Amino acid sequence: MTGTREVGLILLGALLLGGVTAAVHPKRPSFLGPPDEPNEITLAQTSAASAKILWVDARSDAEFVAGHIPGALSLNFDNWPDAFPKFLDHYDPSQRVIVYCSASSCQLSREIAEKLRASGVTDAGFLKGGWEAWQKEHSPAPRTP
Amino acid sequence: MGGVAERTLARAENAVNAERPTPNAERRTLVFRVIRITLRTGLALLFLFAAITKLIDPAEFAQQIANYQLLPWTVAAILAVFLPALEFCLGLSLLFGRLETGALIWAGSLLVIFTGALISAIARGLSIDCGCFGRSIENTGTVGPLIRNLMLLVVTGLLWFSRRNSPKQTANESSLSLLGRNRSSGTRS
Repeated sequence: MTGTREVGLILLGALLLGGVTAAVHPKRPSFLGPPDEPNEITLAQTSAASAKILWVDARSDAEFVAGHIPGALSLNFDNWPDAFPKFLDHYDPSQRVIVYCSASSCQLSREIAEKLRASGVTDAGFLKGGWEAWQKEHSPAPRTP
Repeated sequence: MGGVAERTLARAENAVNAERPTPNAERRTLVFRVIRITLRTGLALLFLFAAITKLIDPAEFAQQIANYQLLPWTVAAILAVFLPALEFCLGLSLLFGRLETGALIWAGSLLVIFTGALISAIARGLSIDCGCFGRSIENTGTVGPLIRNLMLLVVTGLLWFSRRNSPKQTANESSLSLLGRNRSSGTRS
């Protein structure tokens, strides 16, 4: 009984503090949906872009091996120390760098793009819908009998 | 009535003398208490650090929760403000040794949930930052935090079972309270 009461009291404290955070914190999250991202790029925009694109795959090494956008480089938090120097070897400042991960719900591409920008790759954006959107766009048309 | 009170008083005093711990037992108890307080304080500080780093930027933490691809955005956003608050409250409880049972239940439950999420991320091959300490410690991956969580679960378990096994009142305390009761009843009679 004491345990239940204590669990309840701590929960009450957390709800109060969480409520205050949700109401007044200047960096509170948007509860209706993910915020709009200025560096988010759609597939349509990549097709229309005049600059050459350097694709960066932010998914795990296993997912990259299983399939990736042609010419993409694998760069994620796990392989960053080895893969970032390789990325710099391939990178040409005239290129537009676009990072992708698995799907819309995946935020990893955004984080890697942010890390690239912090590392001096100023034109790094990320693909809306990620690998899932790319596959939908580039999947072979169903064969007609 | 006075004779009965005196006999009861003498019996209680004998019980106190018989149950008085030996110096070795006292030393063991002291070491046990020091270890327990150290573990509890360490766990408390870790939860407080985790809470504060997340509370600095809840929007960023919401995105880190969304990275696990387990919950819709709205739930991730709600958890991003609620989880750090819960970690903060239970961390304070552990630090000051108040509401300890409740704090240990929450700590164990959160660690089990976090460990489950990490195992799920590893099983799906997601290469994500665990988000355990907001953005203060980046690039932690998932395997390292999983091992750390399992160790913290062991610490929480030790604190839980040592709490339940340690009697709330020692035998001496029980005898002394008995002594006090009898003395007061003796005075009344």
